[in-house]
Amino acid sequence: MSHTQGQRIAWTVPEGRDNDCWDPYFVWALTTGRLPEDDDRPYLVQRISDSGETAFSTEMARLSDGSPGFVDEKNVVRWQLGAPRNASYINLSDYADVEVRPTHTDVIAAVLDDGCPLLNKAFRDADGRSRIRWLWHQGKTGARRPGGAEAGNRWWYQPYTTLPPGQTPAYGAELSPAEVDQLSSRITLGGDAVERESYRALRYLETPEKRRHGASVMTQVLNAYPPFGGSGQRMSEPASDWPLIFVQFPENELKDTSGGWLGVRVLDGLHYIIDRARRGGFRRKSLLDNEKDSAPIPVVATLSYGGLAGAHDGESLLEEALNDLQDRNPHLTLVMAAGNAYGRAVHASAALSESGKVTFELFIPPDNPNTVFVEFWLPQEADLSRVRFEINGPCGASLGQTGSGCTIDARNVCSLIAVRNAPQGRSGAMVLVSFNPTRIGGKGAHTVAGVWQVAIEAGTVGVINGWIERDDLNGGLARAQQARFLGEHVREDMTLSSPANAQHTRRFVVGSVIASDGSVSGYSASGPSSATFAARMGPDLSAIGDAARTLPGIVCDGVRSGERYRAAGTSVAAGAAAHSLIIEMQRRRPGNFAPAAPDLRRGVRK
Amino acid sequence: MANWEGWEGWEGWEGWEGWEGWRSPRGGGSGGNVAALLRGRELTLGGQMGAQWRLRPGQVLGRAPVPATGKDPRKALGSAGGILEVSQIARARSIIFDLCTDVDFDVRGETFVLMTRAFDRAGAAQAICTIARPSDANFAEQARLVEAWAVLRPERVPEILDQMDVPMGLWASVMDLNSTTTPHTLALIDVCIGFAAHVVHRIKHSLGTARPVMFSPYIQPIRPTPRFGALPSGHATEAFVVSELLKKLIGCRDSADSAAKVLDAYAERIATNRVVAGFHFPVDSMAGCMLGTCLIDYVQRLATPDAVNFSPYQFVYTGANPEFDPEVWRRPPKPSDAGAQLGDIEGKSIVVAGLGSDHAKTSSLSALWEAAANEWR
Repeated sequence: MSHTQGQRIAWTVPEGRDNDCWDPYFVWALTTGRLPEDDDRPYLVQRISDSGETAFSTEMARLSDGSPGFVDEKNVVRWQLGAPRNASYINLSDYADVEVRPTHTDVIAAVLDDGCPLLNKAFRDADGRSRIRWLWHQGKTGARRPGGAEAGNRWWYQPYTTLPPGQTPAYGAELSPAEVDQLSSRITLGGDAVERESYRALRYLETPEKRRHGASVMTQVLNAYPPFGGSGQRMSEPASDWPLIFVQFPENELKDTSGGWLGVRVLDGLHYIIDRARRGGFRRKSLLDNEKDSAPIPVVATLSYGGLAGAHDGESLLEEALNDLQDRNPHLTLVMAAGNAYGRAVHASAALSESGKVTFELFIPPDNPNTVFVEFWLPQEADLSRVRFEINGPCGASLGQTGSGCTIDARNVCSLIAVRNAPQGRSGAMVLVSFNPTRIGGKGAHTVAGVWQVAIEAGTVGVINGWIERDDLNGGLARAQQARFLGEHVREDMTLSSPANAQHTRRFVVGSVIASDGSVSGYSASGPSSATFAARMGPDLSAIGDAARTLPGIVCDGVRSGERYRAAGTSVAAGAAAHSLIIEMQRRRPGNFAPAAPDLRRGVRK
Repeated sequence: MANWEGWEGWEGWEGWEGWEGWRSPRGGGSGGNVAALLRGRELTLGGQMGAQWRLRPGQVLGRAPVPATGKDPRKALGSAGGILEVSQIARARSIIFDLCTDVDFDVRGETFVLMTRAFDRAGAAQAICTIARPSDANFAEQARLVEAWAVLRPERVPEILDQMDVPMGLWASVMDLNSTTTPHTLALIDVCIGFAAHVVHRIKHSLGTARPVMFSPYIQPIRPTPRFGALPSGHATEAFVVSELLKKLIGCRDSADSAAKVLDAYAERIATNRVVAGFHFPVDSMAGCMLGTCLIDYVQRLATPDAVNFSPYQFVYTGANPEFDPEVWRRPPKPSDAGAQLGDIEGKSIVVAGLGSDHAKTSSLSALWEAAANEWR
């Protein structure tokens, strides 16, 4: 009895290309027909110029002859596929920037997330003005400034930046302080109907129950209530209010929790934040003795989205791009959630022998509409031509063995792609195993749900690590992560969020602790990173993500004014940590009120 | 409701108890207050039933059922009008009786052969479908899938419990099924489900297949496992009976029709929920899907003999597609394949000729089918 569907396995990258410098997810998308050839796609690219200088940027490229049409391919070191952008780069020289009322502050907060409740009255300063100054929605289309003549689009405008080409996020749409203030002024005491109507007019956050994550992170960054709720008073004084720039990820990409889109969106988002912090009407509130008025205002950006896979070595393309960005912009502090993958069995690790075989067991969940991706990272010494994979599933399902002549089947159940120098890390070669969705009735063949075995002969000694990418359903009727490893090789270390493994002096990776007893929250991801040098041991900090074991989560504002709920996770802990960092940064400023910062703790899991 | 209590026993197999109970006004209201009638009649009419109270000759106060005509007792309800004028329960029992007495079966080796004499009353029985028993190895493999699907219980238990009985509320939410404007559709659903229930239990009894709980201590069904065979799944059979019947009545042309998509999706979900609950293997759903679809094709052929053809179905599980995909099992196999399969088993022609000249047995069904179809025109 054998399962005959999808017995073919892709092992090689497309013909005629070096085995270097491929994004395995690009090969997967290309060979399984998920990437139409006439599709413009953004890429995150690392280049080395002739003078030896490294640069990171996002670019648009079109497929040609099965490969991305880079203008100057020879300088490309690594690149990573993003999701379709629905907009191409445009010449912005015709645009005038919008005039805005100045905002005086010593620190600017920024959040990159899934929804900004900009009309919620909980996010106003002492003068009643919204603390949200700029909102860039990466998934919307906007009218051109000035004029905004586009019918039915009164509020959203194309973003205007002065960044050089290649760093120009000239897609999506933004709300400037002018629009935010105008909208906020309509919503006064008891203006619930107006608030709902205003979100409708914006065509934004119309179903708030699906997108509360951004509100919960924003609550912690801006307000930070006591973990048990209490009287609902903020932990910091209104006098210390700081403004916010929000970057909203595209809706359709948020549904894909495997997060291949994240690299492009995060880098574009941070470029936008840096540019808007510089040109968005912000003025120094106070100056230190040796400080010039023209010095950039510090920015604290919070990112709590991330993936589960990747080499976890801190050397992914996105992490190196973030390091480069922070090196070039010393006023940018980045706070990142450690991730919630502890106890989810998404990491497995085994020792290899030259002749032996290592077998990993994993559970592929039923009725899952998402592709399950599993990344196996082989030692640097592994000879890919000698590596063999054998994959067997329930009910006699067998996907055969790798070998010469294997090609991918468009109706594949499972694919195998081996690449060196992948953008997800530098720790050896990555073999990407993908399992088609188990939900029946979708496009292509479905994978049989249940326990699968992946047997690997690497022909070398060393350690092989496997990580399962996120497959949970985000938004609406959410379903938790389900694909997981089973058996003896399961490990709970090295589970930090995929972009949160690199070290940088102005980057803080934040875990979650329980307020009542100070213990680490059960889900809070663990280090160390997998790299053997410059290793990150774990989160830099921990902040409160749960009130007590019996009271998970902390109090957050919802999308609508007056709405409160509890949210748990390292996302809200990261927001709370950003709040504390901003308070500490303000404390140094003359004339500033100095509230007590919420609890921060050393965050390494014992 | 006392007058209906006796009706509940005959189809009391697991999950079916409620299927005629959801439409409570059926048949006659309160018959319980006999004392009131007795006393009222005595006080009102006592001693006054003289000749002056007789009806005029020819005068009647109601309509009698259309009487049997001819020698063939099966023509008792042979009038198209007649069958629609007896109570729903009598109508359902009569037509189900007709349908059941037309079918026969044989068991050859591990294969159940469902046959009919309706197509040729003078000749040999012809095949409706065959169902081959999967091997014990198949079931042992399938138990791994049941273990996997159990992870969906937290999100599916409410609907699993709701679907223990025939979920008419669910079907009525997809299209406007109600006892006021679609009484004949509801009656036809009753008939088809009732017929399918008899057939499916006879097949279960012959094949005698095990339940998942016998193959794994990890499955732990959410309720006690029913004490009868698993294959075909009765819930899957019934779900596809309802969805296929409704699709035919409302005139869905193909599976791309939006109503068809929704009906198909719910039938699949009802079947799969039984796997999630731990009562069934996916292969039970496959057989149920095939059987339900086949029986509606068969019933339609009997009801509208001039409009449609019928090709026998077969169920042979090879293990090639271990998960339940309705797209695979709802389609009849190619006639050549079916011929080979059935020919080997029966040694008889399975080519279905036109209906015989004796339509008496199916005219009640035809009348009900026509009345139901008219409700959607």
